[in-house]
Amino acid sequence: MYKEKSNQRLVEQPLGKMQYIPESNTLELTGAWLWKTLQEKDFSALAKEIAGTISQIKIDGSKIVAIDTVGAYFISRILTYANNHNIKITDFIIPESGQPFFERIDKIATDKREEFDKPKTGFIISVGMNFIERIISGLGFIAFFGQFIINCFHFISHPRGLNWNDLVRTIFDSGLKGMGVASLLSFLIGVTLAYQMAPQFITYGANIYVVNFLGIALLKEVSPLLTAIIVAGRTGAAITAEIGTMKVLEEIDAIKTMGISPITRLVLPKVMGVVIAVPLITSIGDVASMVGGAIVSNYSLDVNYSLFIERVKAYVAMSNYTIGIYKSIVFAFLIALVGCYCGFKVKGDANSIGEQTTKSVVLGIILIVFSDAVIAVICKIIGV
Amino acid sequence: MGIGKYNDPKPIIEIKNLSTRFDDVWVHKNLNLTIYPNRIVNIIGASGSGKTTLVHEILMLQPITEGEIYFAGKKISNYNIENSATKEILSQVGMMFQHGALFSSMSVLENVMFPLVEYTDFSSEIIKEIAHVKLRLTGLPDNAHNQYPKDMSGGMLKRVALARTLALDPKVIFLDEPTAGLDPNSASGFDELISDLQKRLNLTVVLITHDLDTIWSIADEVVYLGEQKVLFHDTVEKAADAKSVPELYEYFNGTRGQITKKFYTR
Repeated sequence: MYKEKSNQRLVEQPLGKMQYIPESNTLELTGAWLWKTLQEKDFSALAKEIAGTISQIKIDGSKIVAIDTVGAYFISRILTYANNHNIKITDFIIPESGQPFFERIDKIATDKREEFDKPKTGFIISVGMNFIERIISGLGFIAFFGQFIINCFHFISHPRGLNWNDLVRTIFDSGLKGMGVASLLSFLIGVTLAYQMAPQFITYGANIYVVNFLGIALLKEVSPLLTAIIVAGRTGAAITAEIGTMKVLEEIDAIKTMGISPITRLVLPKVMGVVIAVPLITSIGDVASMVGGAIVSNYSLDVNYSLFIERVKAYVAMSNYTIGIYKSIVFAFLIALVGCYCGFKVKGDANSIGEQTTKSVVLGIILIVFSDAVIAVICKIIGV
Repeated sequence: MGIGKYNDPKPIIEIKNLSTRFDDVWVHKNLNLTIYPNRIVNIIGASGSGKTTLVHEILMLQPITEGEIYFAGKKISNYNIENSATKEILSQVGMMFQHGALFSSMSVLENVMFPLVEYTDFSSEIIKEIAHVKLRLTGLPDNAHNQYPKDMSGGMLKRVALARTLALDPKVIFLDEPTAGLDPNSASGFDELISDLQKRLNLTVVLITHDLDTIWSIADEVVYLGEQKVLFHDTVEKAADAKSVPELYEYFNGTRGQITKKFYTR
């Protein structure tokens, strides 16, 4: 009965059996009629055996030793089956002690039930609904963004009640705790990038240009992107889960009823915290990735450390670094805002938190890469 | 040991010299309690007297520090789902948690189907029908069967939670504050439901409640926990007159207790 490899049963009860005895035209029910001791296939076997062959039957359940709701339901099912197939039940016996219980379950089980199942939607409709849902979700994010900006202005004109604890905690969690993994990955990317490009530089005898290459690629592009993606995975998801749980536990409603804006109270410190923390760890990531590049340059390209530093000073413009940092501020803002937005979209069940956390990370990364492209184009136009 | 109206010789739950320690605090010390089947037993006691801990120990949610608990003659060891003895015991008990603990991502029907799907080999159609029967047994209207827990009122949630507790036809059910947060009508309806199901399904019901109305109207026995042990175990009427246990006497004869007592002992 039990979904286990061993066929060990839970209780030492005789199996619930049903047997058709043709001589006396009797269906004999014996043993324990419990969910642990009944087998569904016995019923279909029985139905096959008697279907169409008889017009009346006697049901003798006097040897049933135990009965539970499931057993009573199955007996009720036999009666219904007989009824539906025009088999007349001439006699029906079950032990007296189980009689009232059976009657109760039988009544409940056979009462007509209207089906309240949800109507099934077709493919086209569900595609359309999905599309509309996405548009609404996009508009929702824009509205949330606008609300946030309005609240920011309000906060600037009435600067009080900023949740300093939350701000510091966010900086600590996303900055200090995320620093290790972000700088390690940046370092490894620096090593990998230099190592992969080394043969190309050697082929053209242009070993020294590795510094120019690394300076632009790492500072302007790789390090801010990599850091932002790590933060989206760590902090973005954490923000969504935190706000989502607060939503489920009605804490958000509690804040609202106190006349306090949940955006000022919850979103603002988080956005500020992430915006402060991410440029800092991006800077550390910049250094770590350049160190990685310098080590490879030293061993594979014969560009020693002092030469490397000199070339960086001379040929890598400061703007590479500053653009990288500006980018990281934009990324940080988007990550935190998306995290909060998805958190507020959580509805009251456990699935919803997981769903929105996933969305938060995916949407965060999409927006990071998208805004990176936009910034690249803008930089080109204004000629930085 | 013939407490209550039935005289079943075999106890269903036997607790012998149970001691429980949380860090440095002893919650129970040499606690002894015997519960006989087919009755409603109400565990009461001040907050922090270890009522919930005791029930959690029977359900293996909380490890036992010292002593033994026997369920239907079998010793309860620590929770180990690989051990078939654990599953055997857990398939015979049901717990209704204070806030229902319904699975929020499943519909009401799926919630009740869940244990049946896990334990039986019946086809999903049959399990669905059985789940409908269980929900009807607890008086939940048919149109609510496909709703989600978040869309339901407190009283309905309690009924669903009870239906899920009864899903595997347990011998013993534990109800933690079943009437807390319900309006008086729903609460007395729920009391009647518990009493009715107890008789029909031959259940042993272990209640943890502070609702004096529930205690007076349906409980067969009262177990009073205090000073880390069972201070009193007898019928409700005797509990209300137990001058030997001052806290318990106060419990039933305080301002609120007086009113309820007068109503039920007229």
